[in-house]
Amino acid sequence: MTEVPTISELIHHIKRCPAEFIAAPVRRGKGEVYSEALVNDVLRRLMQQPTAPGKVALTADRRSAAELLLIQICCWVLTHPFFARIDNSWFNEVFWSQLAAVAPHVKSELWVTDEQRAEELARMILKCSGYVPAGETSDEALDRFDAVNTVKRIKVIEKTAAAEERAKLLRRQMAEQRAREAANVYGRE
Amino acid sequence: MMKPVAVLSDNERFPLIDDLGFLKELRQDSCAPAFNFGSGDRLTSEKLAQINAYAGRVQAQQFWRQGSQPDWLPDFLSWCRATVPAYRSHSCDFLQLPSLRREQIAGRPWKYVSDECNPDEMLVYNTSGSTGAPMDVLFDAVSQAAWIVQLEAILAADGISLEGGQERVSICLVCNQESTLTYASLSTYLRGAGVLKINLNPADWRKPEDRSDYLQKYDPEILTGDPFTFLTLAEMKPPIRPKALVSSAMTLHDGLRRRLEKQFGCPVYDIYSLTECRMIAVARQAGIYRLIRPDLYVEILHSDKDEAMPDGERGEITVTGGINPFLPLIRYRTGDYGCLRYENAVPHLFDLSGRAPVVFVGSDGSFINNVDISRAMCEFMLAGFKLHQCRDRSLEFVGWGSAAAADIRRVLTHIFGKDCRLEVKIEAADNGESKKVSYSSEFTEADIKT
Repeated sequence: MTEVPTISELIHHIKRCPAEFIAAPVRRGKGEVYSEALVNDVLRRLMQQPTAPGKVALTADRRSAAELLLIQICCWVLTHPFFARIDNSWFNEVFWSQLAAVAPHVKSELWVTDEQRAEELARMILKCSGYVPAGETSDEALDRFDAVNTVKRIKVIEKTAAAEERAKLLRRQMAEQRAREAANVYGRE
Repeated sequence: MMKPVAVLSDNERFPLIDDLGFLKELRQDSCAPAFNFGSGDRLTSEKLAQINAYAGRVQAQQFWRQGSQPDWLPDFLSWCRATVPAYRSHSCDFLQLPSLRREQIAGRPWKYVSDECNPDEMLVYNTSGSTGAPMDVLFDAVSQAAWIVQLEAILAADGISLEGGQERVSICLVCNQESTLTYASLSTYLRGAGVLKINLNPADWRKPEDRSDYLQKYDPEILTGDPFTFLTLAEMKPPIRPKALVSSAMTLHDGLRRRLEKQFGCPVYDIYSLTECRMIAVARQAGIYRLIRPDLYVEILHSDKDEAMPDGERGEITVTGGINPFLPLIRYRTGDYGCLRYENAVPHLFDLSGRAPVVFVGSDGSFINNVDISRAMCEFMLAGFKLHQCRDRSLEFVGWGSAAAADIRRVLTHIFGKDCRLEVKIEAADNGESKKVSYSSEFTEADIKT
């Protein structure tokens, strides 16, 4: 049976991310790291096929710097020996789209310096790979991911803002004379 | 408190009624009072279809069985949880849900509006608070017009139907107050029939005899009012032939009921209703109120905890449901007390209290309607107040909140006259009693000079 790392172990691994992985990605000819090349190198390593042709086309110019940086950081996360021991088919478009949703909301370096963001990243990647961190049940793992999930938190904030906006609208309407031209038409209660 | 102002055009008030000739006639009649307001039902085709659908449901729906909950309750609770901000965190287990008090709604009425409501369709009615602090009640055109459907259901049980149609006044709401909003209106649901709200105070009319002449001329199918107003009306002896009188706001005693039935030759119904949910029950004899709405679940709760009282035991009347998406109610405590028993599988309320008529008498011996007092007190920052009248007509007033005693004295002197001795106390609003409005008097109906 594959031995899954604990969340603490993965967080520790993330926080040891070398500076090369968080160097500026090359976009429109400027930057230091070719994200696409990095991703394909990691894939070859996971597949143990060092000479295989590149499988992933990132079209870096269409992605934000924050998203490309997060992809690079994920590449570092995937250097943990655990990921070489498991199937890698989850490392696909679904995974990329999750990164695109969360990346704009977090300052890139926080993924590797901030405890909570590192935990979020560790939990997100493990969830995508289909594994539960060692020492946790799947329900516990889901609850703990929810607790640090940036996208979920933003949705709650957006929902709260929408509720406040709705309350404001209703209060404004309550003050409207049109709404108040509504005497108790038929009977006295 | 924001006072209502008439701002709509008649076409906006009655989008489906093309011919407004009857409305003009009601307003311009030589005997008509000086109407001071305008109001309409604002029913569009879509809303009219909804009210017609409600009328169909009212006929078909059955009451819940004794000891069980209504079939519609789970769906209603799910809808509330999904769309009403104040109910989002409610559980699915009805009996575990917290009760709701008037103060909670009064503080944040917008929290009880379903997300499905279009704010443009909101109507606001400020209750003057005859039994509690003033409150804005939000509703829409459909829940307003539902009152007529509920009335029809009551009348139909006795084989009475509303004729409606243009050229006919179907409903006349009669008041007897120092001042109130009055208007001539139409009912789209009743096919353009007239709806009047009039004040019997002679100051509203060109000549006092116009009151009787106007009523005689338009001979409304139904008159609604409170017992004191009907007493004044009976004394006026207008030659009218209503199909029914509908009394509300306070208990109608059998003596007055018999007198009204004999004089007007029609049944007299005593309706138990609240602005928050409209009609709840009807009585044809004092003290026994038959529930009339299977869409409004009535429970009797313990006064201090959210537990249902055993069958037949006395407690606070609590309602759930209704058809107002601007104020769907879950376990709403009405502030009234009574017991619930079933007769022929229909629930009835007994020993209803909190609606005892209170007779106030002015220095000239005339009857003072407590609605006038509640309305006048709205201008002060009071959380509640208590007014008692002694046999010598002296008044004892205690207010909770911030107001100058001299101002309260001025207002009460204006209402009761200069010769009523008056004691006014203002206290901090910090005890449990302070949220209430309560009236008491040592006078009875027999003391009124009409």
